[in-house]
Amino acid sequence: MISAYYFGAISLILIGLYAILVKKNVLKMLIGLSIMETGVNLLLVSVGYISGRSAPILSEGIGPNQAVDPIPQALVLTAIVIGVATTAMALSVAMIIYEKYGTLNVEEIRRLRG
Amino acid sequence: MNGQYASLLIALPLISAFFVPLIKGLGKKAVKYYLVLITALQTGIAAWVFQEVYTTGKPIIVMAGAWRPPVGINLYIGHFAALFVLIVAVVSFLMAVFSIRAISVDPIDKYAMLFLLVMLGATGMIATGDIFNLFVFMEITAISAYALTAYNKTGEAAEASIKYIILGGIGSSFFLIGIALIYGSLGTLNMAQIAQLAGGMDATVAQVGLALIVFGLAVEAELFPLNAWAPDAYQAAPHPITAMFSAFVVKAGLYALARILYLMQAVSSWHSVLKLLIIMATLTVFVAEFAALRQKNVKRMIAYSSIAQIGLIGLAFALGTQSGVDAGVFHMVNHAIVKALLFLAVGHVAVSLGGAEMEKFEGLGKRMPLTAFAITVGAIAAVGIPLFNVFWSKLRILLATLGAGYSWAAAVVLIASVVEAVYYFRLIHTMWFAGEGERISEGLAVSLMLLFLAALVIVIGVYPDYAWSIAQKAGNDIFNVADYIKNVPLMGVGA
Amino acid sequence: MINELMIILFAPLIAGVVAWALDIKGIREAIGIIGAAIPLAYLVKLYPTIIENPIDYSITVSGFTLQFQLNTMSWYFAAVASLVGLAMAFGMAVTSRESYDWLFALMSFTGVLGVFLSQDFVGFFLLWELMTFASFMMVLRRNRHESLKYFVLSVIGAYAMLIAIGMLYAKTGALDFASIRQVLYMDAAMGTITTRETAIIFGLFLTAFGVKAGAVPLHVWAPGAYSETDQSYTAFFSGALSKAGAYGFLLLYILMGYKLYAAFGTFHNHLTFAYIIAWIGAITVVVASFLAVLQEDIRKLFAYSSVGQVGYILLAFGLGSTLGFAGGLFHVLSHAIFKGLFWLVTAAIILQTGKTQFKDMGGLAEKMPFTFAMGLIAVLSLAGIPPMAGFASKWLIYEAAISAHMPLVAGAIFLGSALAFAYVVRFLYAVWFGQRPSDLEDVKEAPLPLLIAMALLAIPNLVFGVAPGLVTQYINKILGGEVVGGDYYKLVTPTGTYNALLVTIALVIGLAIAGLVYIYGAKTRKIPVTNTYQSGNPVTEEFNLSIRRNFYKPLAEALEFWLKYSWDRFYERVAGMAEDFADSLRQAFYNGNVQSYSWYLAIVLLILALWGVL
Repeated sequence: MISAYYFGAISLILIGLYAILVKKNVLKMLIGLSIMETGVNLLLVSVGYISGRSAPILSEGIGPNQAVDPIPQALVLTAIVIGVATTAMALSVAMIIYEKYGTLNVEEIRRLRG
Repeated sequence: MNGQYASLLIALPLISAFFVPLIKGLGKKAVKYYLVLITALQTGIAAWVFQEVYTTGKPIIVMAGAWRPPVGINLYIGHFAALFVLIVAVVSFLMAVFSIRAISVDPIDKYAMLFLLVMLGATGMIATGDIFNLFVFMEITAISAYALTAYNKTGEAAEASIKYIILGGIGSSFFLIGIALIYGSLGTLNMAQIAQLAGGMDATVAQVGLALIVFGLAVEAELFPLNAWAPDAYQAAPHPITAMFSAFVVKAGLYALARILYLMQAVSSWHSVLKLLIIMATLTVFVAEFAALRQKNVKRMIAYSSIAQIGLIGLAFALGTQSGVDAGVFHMVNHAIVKALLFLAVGHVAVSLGGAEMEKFEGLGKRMPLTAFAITVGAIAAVGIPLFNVFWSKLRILLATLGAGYSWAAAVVLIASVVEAVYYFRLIHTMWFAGEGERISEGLAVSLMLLFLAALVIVIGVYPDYAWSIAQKAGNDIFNVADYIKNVPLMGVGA
Repeated sequence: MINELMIILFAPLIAGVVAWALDIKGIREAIGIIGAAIPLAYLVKLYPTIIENPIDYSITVSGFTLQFQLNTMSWYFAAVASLVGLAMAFGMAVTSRESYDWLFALMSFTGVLGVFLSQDFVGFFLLWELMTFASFMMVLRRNRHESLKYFVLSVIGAYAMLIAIGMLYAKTGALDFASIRQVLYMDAAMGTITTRETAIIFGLFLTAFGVKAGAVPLHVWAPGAYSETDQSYTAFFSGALSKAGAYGFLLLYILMGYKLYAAFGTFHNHLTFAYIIAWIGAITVVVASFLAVLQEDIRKLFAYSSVGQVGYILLAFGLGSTLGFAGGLFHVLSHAIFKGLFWLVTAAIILQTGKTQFKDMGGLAEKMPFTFAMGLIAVLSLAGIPPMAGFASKWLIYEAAISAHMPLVAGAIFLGSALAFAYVVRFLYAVWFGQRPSDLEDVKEAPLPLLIAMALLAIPNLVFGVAPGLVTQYINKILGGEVVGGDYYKLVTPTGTYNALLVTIALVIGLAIAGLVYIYGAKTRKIPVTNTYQSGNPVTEEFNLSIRRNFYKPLAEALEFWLKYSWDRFYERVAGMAEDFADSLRQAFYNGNVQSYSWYLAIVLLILALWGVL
């Protein structure tokens, strides 16, 4: 069961990487970046998953030994926030690029080189 | 005094950053002076911490919420962190002063906030004792750096920023995967505990985890071929920010790389990771120096030179010997001073003359003699001429490299150094012996800063003993992992 | 005791910095001259002490222990350098009007002294670099291209040395000469350092010292660098700084002699490694002398000549016999004083006429009689005519080559001397005699400080020429044995005897007779200028070979085949290729497309993955 999560996570990472490496449109590349980050987050959560246990909320009938590892979930929350910030930043930069260059094709955004 | 006050190093910039919008009401000027004030305060705290750590010889361990590690996140301000936090603060202070003159684009309040966040992030990366916390601080630094790169709002700035974001994004994702693997295997995020348990790790997981962390950090640390974002970002960023990138943002990444590398030296594949890093670092030096050779834009040229020097530090750290690490730290300090000086001076020229192209530097010796003198000192130092600070650290690095048996790496680095000498001396010739010009005003504050940094370069060059003894202590802090583990008061809980 | 060596070492540098910082006309020059005089004064003062025991001094800098020692050998080299340095300072007082020059000239002075005094590789390298850098800055100001050529070659040399030092450090764990020598001496028997490593270290040192000494094929920087700087400074540059290279070769013997012998053995009864050095020297002598003959510019001529003369020193050291060392050491002194003198004379000529080409000169002997007399002494000394210092040293080298049974090398010395004669004759005639171009009518004698400088170097030429025993007896002390016998005026070697005093007396009598004949017996006949023939043919514009213009063109034509190959052009091409490589590298790698950059990341990940599998 766990291997499915790992598989899914790695697939997402590779899909994201594929988008970054192949798509010429900056927006699509940024979407790829987001997909990749999602994949990483999924991986992180699945690291802490213990088969058959519930969410790490201590309540009636769920003690420390019935819950999954809470730390990865905390980490993922942070990582998601960071991801959102990065994406927001990237999109606003992409807007400026479109304003100044009139295109989002990476092959034409090459004023700085050499 | 209580060592816990050292947490102000993190708290002060963070809180101050949130106060910037309030200060904005007092006017644009006020924001700039506020920035100077906060960085000055930060310098004071950092100086106190530095003094405290170096007189007692013991690291300051700050425990968040009084939770003992590994349950609570701790800050570890040892010899290295104390030294480098001070450098971060001093450079930030100088650049804050420079910003008064150099930054005219709005919105200045955002600039001030991001400026403080970069400083905070770098300080945090160096001081933290928790690997995920390291990731968070790295992202704080990186996102603020993305934004600052794009700050000038020109097409080039946006282009550089997007490159930085995409490459940095990939890097940090893989860094996080590495952390996930290590956590999955060891069940801890505390760096001291990771070091304690690293020997017992599953070999494959350790190898992949370490490799991914090295990969992720190498993007931040500008190792070839992961450094392609760097020249663009350096060129497009506002001038004070470029100096900060070179002086400490990259080095924070490099430090993190070295720290994690040495913490995990019990891992079985450690030596092959080192070998890989040596190859990457040597190539960094070589490619960057050659790329700088015929640059038309001086800022970009110095950016390449900075990347090459970082490669040299990376090489020193990757040797895996005490002498290598000591030399690397020494070079870090020297490089921070020299590159702060060079970027400050070049930025000053660019602000005064409207650009950093090579033609602008013709006759600079007559137009802005003091700035030209500062650039000359910086350039000569960067080349590694005796009686200037970089000579000593470069010599140390090369002796360490040869001592570790990597003669080829030393040879490649030295070939690249010849190239470096050529372009720097061409610049010096252009400044002093080509072109004419009328003398223009250079500004008191910037002149004083330039003189201060140039004096530091020469003082360390003539009397390197003090700096070297500090660098040795700091190097020992990184290299001697056993002491690191011993110093962190771990609670007796296992994984 | 503590600071005498430091005073010797740093007085010039401090004086340079002060002169540069003050930058007041007059005071600047005075400080410079004082700073340059201090080392010589102290060296003279310490002379009696060091004959008894060497003086040591060591300081710890940045975790390295820097050791300095004034012993018989370092005193000799330092004294030669200080003498030339003082002459340089006097010369610069009139030829240079910039504080910039004072700073770097005196900085290189410190560097040279430090190289001679250092007893460990860190100090040696540090001051070697300082010396290179300072001399480079002297050239950079005037010519970017030539200075960079000089610097790049020098730095390649310096870094070769650094790698060699590092390798020795890794093998021996020591950086000071004494320990390295000891360890290598022991290792000669044990052989822990393999022959291959020894060969690499030897080759690296050879490159390092060869560059500074201007050994062919690493000499290409010398003509440009020597000409494109202040000519008073060149006196030091060529007279003293190039000796650092020669000193390096000596050091190679001292530190690695046994090890190299053990590693490479002998070849035709000579030490193999010494044989290589001897031939490098011989080739340098011949090639540089030929090139010197063909020059049309005074500065270029002396530059090549200087390269050739340092070749003699290498050749002498390469003979591997004590007599060879004695000859080489003597030539260190005589080359420094006669070539220093030559450059000061050149400085005077350029200062007063503003010209550098032979074709613009002539008849200056009447206008600048004192300078002419000095030039004549230099010419005699360089051409190896007794009773000048140059003769004594060359004679010793020649004797050494013969007694070492190296006739081909001895032939190179002979050929070099003949060529030297050919080029100095041209200098002598083209500059001083013959018709004076009309624009040189109001040339005046050089200013006093420059004359003092010249006299400072001319007197030793005469004194050590007439009494070469003064020098050889000191050299005997350096070498620790009676290598060259005789007294003050007489040199005795196993194969021959040279009595300088006798020769001098004979020469004086001969000159007196010739003078009498000239004054009382010569008939002068005036001829018109156009009545000029060469080899029976009237002068035409196509083949106008006067002593001032293309004098040795026939020789150049004869050598055409060889002149096609130029090391200079070769290096220029290599440098051009490196620059083009740099361009294509950065255009290809930093191509501006972030997608390509992402691919680099992906490729590194792929490599990591593969490397994990393998």
